[in-house]
Amino acid sequence: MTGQAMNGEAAIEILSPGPLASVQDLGRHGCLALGVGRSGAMDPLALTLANRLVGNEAGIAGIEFTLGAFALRFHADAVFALTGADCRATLDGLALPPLWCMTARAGQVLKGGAARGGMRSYLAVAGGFRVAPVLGSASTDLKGGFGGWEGRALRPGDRLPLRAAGRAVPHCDWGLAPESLAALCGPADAPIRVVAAAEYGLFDAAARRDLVEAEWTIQPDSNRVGYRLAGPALALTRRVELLSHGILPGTIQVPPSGQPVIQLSDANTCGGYPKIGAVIGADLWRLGQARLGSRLRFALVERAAAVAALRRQALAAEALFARLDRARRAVA
Amino acid sequence: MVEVKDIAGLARYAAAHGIGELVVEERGRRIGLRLLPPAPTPSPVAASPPAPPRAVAVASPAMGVFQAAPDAPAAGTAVTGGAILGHVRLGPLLLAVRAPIDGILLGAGIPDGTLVGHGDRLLEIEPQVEKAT
Repeated sequence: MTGQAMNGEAAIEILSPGPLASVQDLGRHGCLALGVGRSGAMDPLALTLANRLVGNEAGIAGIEFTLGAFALRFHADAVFALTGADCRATLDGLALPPLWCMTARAGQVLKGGAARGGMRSYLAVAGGFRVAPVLGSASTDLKGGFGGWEGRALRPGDRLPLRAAGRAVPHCDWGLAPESLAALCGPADAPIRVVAAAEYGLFDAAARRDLVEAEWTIQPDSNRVGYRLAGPALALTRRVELLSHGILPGTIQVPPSGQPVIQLSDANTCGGYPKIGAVIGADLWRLGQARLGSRLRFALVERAAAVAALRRQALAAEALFARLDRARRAVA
Repeated sequence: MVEVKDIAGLARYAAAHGIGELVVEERGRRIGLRLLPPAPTPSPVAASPPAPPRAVAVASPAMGVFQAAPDAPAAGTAVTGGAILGHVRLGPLLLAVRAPIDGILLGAGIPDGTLVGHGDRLLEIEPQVEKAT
């Protein structure tokens, strides 16, 4: 049973998915011991924002688009939001500013152009999609072929049923002032913060210096599994043989080539390469928006600073959403 | 003071706005224009004559601070219905101010940074008159 929406059922129909579109929520947690990775949105902040704009809980599954260039048709009235990289989207030709929440009427077509200022865009619909969770999450595990929408990337013709069907929808045509995200996102060119990983001490002094001083270029063969970086070769003081062990998204492995790889949302759940660092949780979203071919820098921080950054981010998000809710109530 | 040379312009204005009779009285002088109805022209589609174009207000969607869009069309240029002309800001929220119809954006709207109330007139658009084809 595919779960495709039947004709007449409230749904959105994918006309064109763009380079890669998939159903993602905030990830499948707690299944590492089963060899099942986290998956989930590469920019969890943007998905959370899209959900809060339409009045959903933060973790409701939405659609992650990569590099824009998508088109979809609404087969029911629905309130939706589009966040992340700006695709200069239009709804039946009507322009949508970035970070926007709008009401679509049945039959209207939402189109996104090429993504600017980032790589991934997120569509949330009020009430979410009727997608059956697998192992507690609606995220698509693309490598494993399960979860999300039939365990695969979205294709033209896919009709995703909407949960909030048949309810009267309010008229929405508003969004977030981009400057209101400054406290949450920080400066655009901030370095990616990493904590030292278990084998950090095995890397030679030059490698440890290059990690934080070099400019690393994201290679074209990078994707949701991991980002390959080009830069100075990172060398160990001595050869090590490691048994395969559990790794998490953010882990920076260094294969024999000396060129680091950042493991990301669809990463393998274990690996045997030495790890030099791990990207802190609060900065993973930056990687989700870093474009292939772009450059990044790392900064080494202590674990306490990493935890504090995550806490600060959560507080900034809640403060923003509280202000957003107050403003929405004043407008309604 | 209305001069004879102004009569043609007054006649054009009256015709464009569907005014049948126009009287100007000043300083003891009275000029009256009465427009004869136009000769009936065959029309492929039976339709009522177009309503005289009157400025349509673009009303504020909410209480907040108005800001014109940086790429909004200049006064006197054409706008398409649905085009974003600016925003009203309330806290972190931006509410779109869109052109309600196709038309010409009239004059200068209220200045950026003005605190507006729900329904306040922000801008005006003169509807485009349908051209006979």
